[in-house]
Parts: sequence; C-alpha cells; structure tokens
Amino acid sequence: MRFELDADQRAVLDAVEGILESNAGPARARQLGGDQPRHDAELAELLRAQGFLGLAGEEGAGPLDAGLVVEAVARHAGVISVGPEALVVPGALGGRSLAAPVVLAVARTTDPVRFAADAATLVSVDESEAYVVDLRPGDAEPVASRFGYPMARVHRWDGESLGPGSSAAVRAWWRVAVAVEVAGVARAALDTTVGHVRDRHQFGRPLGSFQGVQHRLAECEVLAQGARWLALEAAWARADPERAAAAAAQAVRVADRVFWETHQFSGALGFTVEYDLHLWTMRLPALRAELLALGSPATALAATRWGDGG
Amino acid sequence: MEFGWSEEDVTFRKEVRAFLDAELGDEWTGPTASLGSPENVAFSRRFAAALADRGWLTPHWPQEHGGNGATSWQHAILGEEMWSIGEPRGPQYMNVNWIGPSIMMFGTEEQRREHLPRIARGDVIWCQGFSEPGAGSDLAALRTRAVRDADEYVVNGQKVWTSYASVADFCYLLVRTGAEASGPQGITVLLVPTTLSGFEVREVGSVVGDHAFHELFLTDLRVPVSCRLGPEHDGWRVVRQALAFERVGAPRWARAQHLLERVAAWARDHGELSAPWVRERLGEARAATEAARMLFYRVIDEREHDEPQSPSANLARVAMVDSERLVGRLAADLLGLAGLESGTLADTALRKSMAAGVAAGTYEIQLNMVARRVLGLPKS
Repeated sequence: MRFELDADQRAVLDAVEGILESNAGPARARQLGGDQPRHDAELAELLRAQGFLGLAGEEGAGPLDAGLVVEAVARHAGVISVGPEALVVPGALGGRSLAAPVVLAVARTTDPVRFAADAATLVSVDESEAYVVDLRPGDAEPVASRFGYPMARVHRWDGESLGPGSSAAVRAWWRVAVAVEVAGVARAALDTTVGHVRDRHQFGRPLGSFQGVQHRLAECEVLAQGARWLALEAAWARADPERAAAAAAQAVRVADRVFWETHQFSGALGFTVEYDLHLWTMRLPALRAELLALGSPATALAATRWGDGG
Repeated sequence: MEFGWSEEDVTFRKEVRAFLDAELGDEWTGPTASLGSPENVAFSRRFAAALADRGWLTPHWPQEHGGNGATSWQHAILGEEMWSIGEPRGPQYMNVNWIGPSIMMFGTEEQRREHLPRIARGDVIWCQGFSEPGAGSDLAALRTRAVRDADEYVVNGQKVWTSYASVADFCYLLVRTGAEASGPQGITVLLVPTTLSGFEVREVGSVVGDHAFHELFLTDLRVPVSCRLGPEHDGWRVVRQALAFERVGAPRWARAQHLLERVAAWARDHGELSAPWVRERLGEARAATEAARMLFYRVIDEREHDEPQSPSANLARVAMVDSERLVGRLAADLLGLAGLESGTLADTALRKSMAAGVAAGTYEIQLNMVARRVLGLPKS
C-alpha cells in the first residue's frame, strides 16, 4: 500500500495538469458558458489524442491512474464527459471501443442526462441489463440547467443489450467515476473557500481565524479527503461493488456538506458569477443527484455487505 | 500509489487471527468489554504474556529491547485485529506504543533495564498521569508541583480521569518543576511506582463504563530523582516525542466496524434488516468507517516511510470519531427502548462511542490542528 504517487503516475499527472492548466480552469469554463456550459470537445480531443483517457486499459497503468485523471479534470472544472470514457467503458465493457463522447443514464429516464446532446454513445442500465445506444444528432434535446454541465433529455433508447446481469458492473463503475469527480470538485471548492477565509477580514481579523469557521471547514476537509481515498481505492479495486458503493455513499455526503459550507463561508460573494466558486459548487448537487439516481449508495452498500435482509 | 496488501502482511494477519481464535476463550467478552475491570485487567496480563511469547507484544521495537523488526503495517494490523475484538491487551497498548519507546529514547541505562523488559514481557501495567482538574486540553497548564529535595522530588497535586490507575504498577507522571507560570517550559516527566506512599487513588464513577476513571491525590509523594525521564523542565519535549510514536492513536475504526457487524446481526435477528432506514444508516456508517480506515492507513504509510510528522493523524482521528458516533447512534436508534437495558448492544455501543471525541485529545483539538496545519488558517 502506498499513498504517494509513483514516478510514472507523477509524470502522467504532471502532463495532464499541464494540459488542463492551459485548456481548462475557471476562465475556460466561463468562456464555455459558466454554470450553463457547452461541451468542451477541444479539451476532450487534446486529452484523448495523448492517450490520457485510455489509461485504464493500458499496460503499466490501470483504473487508478484513470481515476487520477478524472479527478484532475474535475478539479480544473473541465466540461467533458470524462468518467464514462476513462473508467466505465474500459472497466465494465472490457475491450469494447465505443464512439466518444460516451454518457450514462438509467434506461428510459425522462430526467436530464449529463452531456447527452453531445454524446455519440449512450450506455444505459436497467435493473438487470446494460445497453449500448448509438446516439444521433437530435436524439437528445438540451434542457435548461444551471448546475455546471450541459444537460439533455434522451429520446432514443433502442440499442444493443449486453446481456442479463450486465448492469451491475456498469453501475459499480459509474459510482466510482462520479465519486472520483466529486473528490476533484470538492477539492477545488474547498481550496477556493479556504483562500477566501484566509484573505477576508471582518472585525479586524481574518474570517478563518474564527473557530466557528475553522471547525466546520476542518470537518469538510476530513470528509473530502476520506471520500477521495475511498474513491481512488475503489478505482484501484476495479469497482468491487462494495467499495464502489462505499465510495459513492461517502461522496454523496461530501457533495452535500461541501456545497453548503463553502457557500456559507463565502457570503454573498460566493453567489456572484464573477467569483469562481460556483463553477465547482453548483456541480456538487448535480453529481449527488446522479449518484442517487442509481439508488441510494448507502443502501446499496448495505445490500452488498449484509444481503437483502430476509 | 496503490492499495494492495503485501503477501507477507496477508499471511501475518491470518496468523494473528488464528492466534486470537486460539487464545481468546469465552472469558473474553469482546468489544463491549469494560477495559478497566479487575477481571479484564487480569485477563489482559495473561493475554499480553502469551502475545509476548509469540513475539507480538512489541514486534515493532528494536531487537535489543525485545522487538523483531516488524513493519509499521504489521504493527497496524496487530492494532486492528486487537481493537476489532475489543483490545484484549487492555492498558498494555499504551506501554507498548509510546511509554516503552519514550523510555528507549530518553531513559537512562538503568531505567531501560528496569522497565523495558517488563513491558516487553507484558507483566506490567502503566497509567498516564496527565490531566488535572485545571488542565485538560490545555495540558501545559498543569500545576502538580515537584520540588527537589536532595536526591528526591517531593510531589504535591492532583490528577484526574486517569484510566487504569487502580491496577497500575507505574504512573507516567507529568509534574511542574519550573515556576508556576512556566507553561510548557517547566514540566518534567517522572516514572513513579504506584506503591510509594503519598500516591492515593480514588475511583470516579462514570457513565462510559465501570472502572474507567480515577483521581490521583499526590501528597508529599517522595520520588527518587533516578525516576526522572529526560532532563528537568524538559518534559514537554519528552512527552511530545513520546506521543509522536502514538501519532494516530488506536485504530478505533476497527472496533466501530466490528460493532457495526453486531448491529447488523441484531437487525437481522430481529427482522429489522430489511427496513429501508436501517439499511440506509448501516451503509452510511459502514462508509464512514471505511473512510476512517483509509485516513488511518495514510498515517501508517507515512510512518512506514519515515516521513516527517504530518497532520494526517489529526485527519484520521476526526474521521474515526465520526464513524464511531454513527455506529453508536445507529445502535441506540435501532434497539430503541430495548437498548436502555444494561448490557445490551446499544447500551454498550453508545457508551463506547461517547468517549471517542474526548479520550486521548479532544475532537475540537484535532479540528484546530486540521484547520491550522492542513488548511493553513490563522490561530484564533
């Protein structure tokens, strides 16, 4: 067991961070539409062209490395459908090559789906089966939404079934992918708010010197770091269902707590679109809703560990 | 970065479990045991001796003092396996984890000869005389006074919340040798035999378990100067270094996980395991214990690589408190009125969880450290 990056992982992440620093981040997210962004096809292509979205199945790398890339993209507020392509397809649909971008949905949902209007492939799951659906322009209709991702309602569901029982693996990998995204988004939101409370003075002292502020942010930090390690461990463990559910359960908790607390301590400034915070925070309810749409991960964890209760 | 166990560690854990299965008879009541009771202390003496024979009481110590060069991971595995069944080493984990190492680092040749073999054999019990009525989280405010008189210190003062004092052979005692307001600069460590006259122990009743707490009344207690650990007035440094060995403290998450298994078993036996709210809360608590496990492992990883002390231990401690509380609260909510009966799972789980945020450094002190050392926020 080793929590530090090894030299290869460091090199990969440095390269990915380099790309993200020039081609993602708050300025780029704003350029794409801020809290109602369009899909960043250029960024996806840059990462894909250098192989950074295909690490999960690559010799000498694996799903943990892919997870670190997904986390970095989320931390830099990248507007791409990275989890499905980097983790879920290689993990759950082993070896299949699907046209990107790939998106995930609960089969036949009438709810909005992240990136669906920009997707070439939809992987959907019902209780038992997973399906691969080729999407054509017009198969998904954009939905107005201000939670940091382009959302669309899907109208095409006919596709190839991957067989009975194929849904479980997709669900587990999906949980891992979103849990990793939550880790990245929560990290950036917390860093932003911690910077704010260090700089902002009221009553003649920094906000961050008040214990009432310190303790709540410290609790967020502990939750966020714990959830991050669980998500990365679940990726490393190839989405073992119990670990995937644990990571998702903790991510759901983090997404909630970090959302409310970072906004609370940013005051009215945090509500303004000129300030960066919302570029991350408004994504947290979206990611949380996506995890919960698969069924409560805590309940799924209980089912994996203790059976159906009968 | 990777999260696998080495083959050696997997084997080691299997061996520890097999040993525990063989050694722990019906006599051991498990994670709900009241650690300070005379029965459990007697049990822990026998058990620790058996562990010592197997080489597993102080495996991480240097060979010359009775260790066998175990890795930090093996030390952690031992801790996990012990805590998950209620810590049958009883008070001895303190000796083993930091009192012994502290004597190795600061003790005289004579002190090492006197204390280390006994700790390594498991036939001695220590208590720690730290907290006082006026010095808890603010430990450096302690006032118990030690005045030098020829080759003795004359100690007067009071300690409180001292676990195991009624059964301890020695006390790792913090006293003030400097001026009254000398703060951390005027503190000295004394290794005090509890049989000395002037060392009086009174049990303090508590709601978190029988025999948990004591008060120490130290009246004209004459302690030979040869019992001083480290230089006079330099005890704060000694104790800080000592506690650095401890770093993350006990793997309380392991006990929380074990208790949670028992809560789930209770739910199954009583037809409650299919209730949606029970499943949700079980999963939520399990996830929290898993998060605490990862943060705990992070500390062990740093220790294994001799990395400088970091605030990782503070993060792990906070996460462990969170997980213990979720388990305790669920046990109480699940058993409901049935849990009000003494000795039930909820009764013991709730009481065990109550101490989580207070024992060995409060939750708030951990949060202060996270705020300062991880988030870089200014002192309040």
